[in-house]
Amino acid sequence: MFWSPYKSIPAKLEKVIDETSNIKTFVLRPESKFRFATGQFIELSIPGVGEAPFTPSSSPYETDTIDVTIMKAGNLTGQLHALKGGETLGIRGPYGTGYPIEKFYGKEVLILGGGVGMAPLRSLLLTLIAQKEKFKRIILCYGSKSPEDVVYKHQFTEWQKIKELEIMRSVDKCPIGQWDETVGLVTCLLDQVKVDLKNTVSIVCGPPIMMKFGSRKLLDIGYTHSNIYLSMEGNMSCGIGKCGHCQIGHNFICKDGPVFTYEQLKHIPDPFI
Amino acid sequence: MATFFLSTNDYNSFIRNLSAQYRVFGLKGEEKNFYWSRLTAEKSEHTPNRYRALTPVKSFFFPVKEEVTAEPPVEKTILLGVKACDLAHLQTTDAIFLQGALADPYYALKRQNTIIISSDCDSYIPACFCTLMGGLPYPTKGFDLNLTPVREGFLIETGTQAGEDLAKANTSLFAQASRQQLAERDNLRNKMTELLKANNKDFTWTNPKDIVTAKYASQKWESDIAKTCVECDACRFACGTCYCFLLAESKKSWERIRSWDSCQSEGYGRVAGGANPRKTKGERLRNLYSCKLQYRPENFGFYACTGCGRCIEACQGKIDIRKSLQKLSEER
Ligand SMILES: Cc1cc2nc3c(=O)[nH]c(=O)nc-3n(C[C@H](O)[C@H](O)[C@H](O)COP(=O)(O)OP(=O)(O)OC[C@H]3O[C@@H](n4cnc5c(N)ncnc54)[C@H](O)[C@@H]3O)c2cc1C
Ligand code: SF4
Ligand code: FES
Repeated sequence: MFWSPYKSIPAKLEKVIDETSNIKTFVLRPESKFRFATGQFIELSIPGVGEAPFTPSSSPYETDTIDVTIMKAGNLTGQLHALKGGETLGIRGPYGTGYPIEKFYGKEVLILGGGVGMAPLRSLLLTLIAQKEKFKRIILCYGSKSPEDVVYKHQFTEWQKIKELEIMRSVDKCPIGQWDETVGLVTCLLDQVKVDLKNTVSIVCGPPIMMKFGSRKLLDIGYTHSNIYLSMEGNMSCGIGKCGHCQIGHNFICKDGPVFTYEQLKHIPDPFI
Repeated sequence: MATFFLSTNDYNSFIRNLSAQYRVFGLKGEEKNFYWSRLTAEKSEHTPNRYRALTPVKSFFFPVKEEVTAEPPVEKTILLGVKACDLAHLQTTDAIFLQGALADPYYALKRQNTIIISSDCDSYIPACFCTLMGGLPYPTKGFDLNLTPVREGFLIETGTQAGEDLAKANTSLFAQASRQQLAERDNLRNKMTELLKANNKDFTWTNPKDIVTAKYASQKWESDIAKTCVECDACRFACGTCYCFLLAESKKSWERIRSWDSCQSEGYGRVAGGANPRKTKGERLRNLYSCKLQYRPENFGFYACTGCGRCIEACQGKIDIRKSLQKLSEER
C-alpha cells in the first residue's frame, strides 16, 4: 500500500486550555494511538491553512491523547488560538530524536527552561517523574517574563509536592508582593544550585537568547560540552530531513535533532538564531 | 559490462524502438540551449551529445511543483543524453531523497522507473567547469547505457543490468565495438578534457572545501561576492543538486503540494517572531557555497556542485562561483 510521509492523520481537538495571555495547550485525540519519545516533535496542521512543528508537552506514556502547548506567534499559531475545540486537525510524525533518557540514569538531571520552552520540558519532566527513582536528583529551573506568563500553573502546585523534585522559578520582573520566588533572569537560578559536576547532565529549552546565555553559564559552571542538551529551533517544512529548511551547518535540526548536545553544535560559529 | 557499436541508422532504429515502448525524453534545441522533449517513434530526431540541457535532470524525479499526499502515477521512462555533470547531480538528490530515516516515495518511484542513457560531451560552453570539480566531460558511472559519438555511429556502453537488457532486446542492432572505435572514444575524451581544462585555466583553486571552511569569516562575502545579487533565486532554480522545497496546503483539504524553494530568499530560514539565522545576502550566499562545498561533503563524501555552470548562466548579477572561489583563495 502506498504511504506518503507528507500526509497528515486526523486528530480531534478535544479541549483548549488557557495557560497565559498568549499560550494555550491543545489536547488532541489522534484517530489511532500515537506514540512518541519525549523530545520528538510533530507537524500540526489546520487542513487547508498551514502546518508547523510543535513538541508534545504531554507524557509519552499517554498514547490516546497528546497535548501541544502553543504560543501565539504568527499566522498559523494565531488561527490555532482562535479554535474552541471540536475541530479536526492534522498531525504527522513523530519526528527527530528525543531525549536520551537512559543516559540520564543515575545522574543529577538539571532542566533549564524559559517561556513556552517549558512545553517539551513538561513532557520530559513527566517522563522523569514516572521513573524518578532512577535519577540521583531532578532539578527544574524555570524562568518566565512575569508571574502571569508562567505556564502549567496548576501543575506546578502538584509538582512542588513531589519530594524528589527540586523546583526553582524566576520571573524577569514583577511588582513587589506578587512573587515570592526569584526575580531575575533564569540563568541566575543556576547560582543557587550546587551540582556534582562529575555526575550531571543539563537540558535546556527556551527562546534563542536564553539558549545562548544558558549554555554559556552552564559551561562556566563546569558542565562538559557533551553533558549539555539543547532543543534547537529552526524554520521547518518537511520534518524528515528532505526540504533543507532547518539545516545548520551539516546538521538537519529535524532529523539529527531537535535535541543536540552542545558538543554536536560547537563547530557551528553561531548556532542560536 | 560491454561496449557495442551502432551505425547511425541502427542507432535511430534503436531509439525508435525505445520510443514505442517507453516515454523517451531526448534533447532538442537550436544553437545554445537544449531542452528535454518527448520523442516518439514517428518523431524521434534529437541531439544525442553536445553538452547538458538547460533544465537539470533532477526535474524528472523532483519536479518544480507536485502533489505529495496521494499515490503518484508512474510511467516507465527513458532519459536520453544525460551529461556527466547532471548524472553526478543525482548522487546528491539520491542521498537526500532515498536515504535517511524515511525515503521520499515520490522521488523513489520515479527514479526506480527511469532508465538513464547518458552521453559524452563533444562540445561545451564557457560556463562549464566539471573538470574543476573533479569531474570529467564524459560519464564514468551511474548510467544504464552511455553513448559516445564515433565515425558513422555511436559506441554504447552498458552500465547496469537494465542497460544490458535493452541491448539484448535489440541485439540485431548492436555490433561488437572495434579496437579502433574504442581508441576514437579515448581520443575524443582526452580532447574534451583538455578543452575543459583550457576553458578554466584562469582558475587556480583546487580544494573548494578548504577554501569555504577557511574563509567563513571573510568580509568578502558581503562586500564583494554577494554584492551584485539581486535576490531573484534564479541560480537556485537552475541548480541540479538543490533539493530544498516548501510544503503548502492545497486547496483540497488534506492534500499537500511541494514546490522548489530557494535558500537565497530572505524568508527561507526565518522563524516565528522574525529571528533569522541568515539575514544578509552575504550570509545566505556563504551558506549556499558551504552547503555545496563543505556540508554535503561532510555528510556524503562528495561535492554537491558538479560544475554544470547553470548558476553562472542564470545569474543576473554576473556572480560566477569559479571567480568567487578564486577571490577567496587569493585573499590573505
Ligand atoms: C522542533 C520545533 C518544535 C517547536 N515546538 C513548539 C512548541 O511546542 N510550542 C510552540 O509554541 N512553538 C514551538 N515551535 C515554534 C513553532 O513552530 C512556531 O512558532 C510556528 O512555526 C509559528 O508559525 P506561525 O504560522 O504562527 O508563524 P508565522 O511567523 O506567521 O510564520 C510564517 C511562516 O514562517 C515560517 N516559519 C516561521 N517560524 C517557523 C518555524 N519555527 N518553523 C517553521 N516555519 C516557520 C513558516 O513558513 C510559516 O508559514 C517549535 C519549533 C520547532 C522547530
Ligand atoms: S560541465 Fe562538463 S559534463 Fe557538464 S555539460 Fe559542460 S562539458 Fe559536459
Ligand atoms: S524540516 Fe525539512 S529538512 Fe528539516
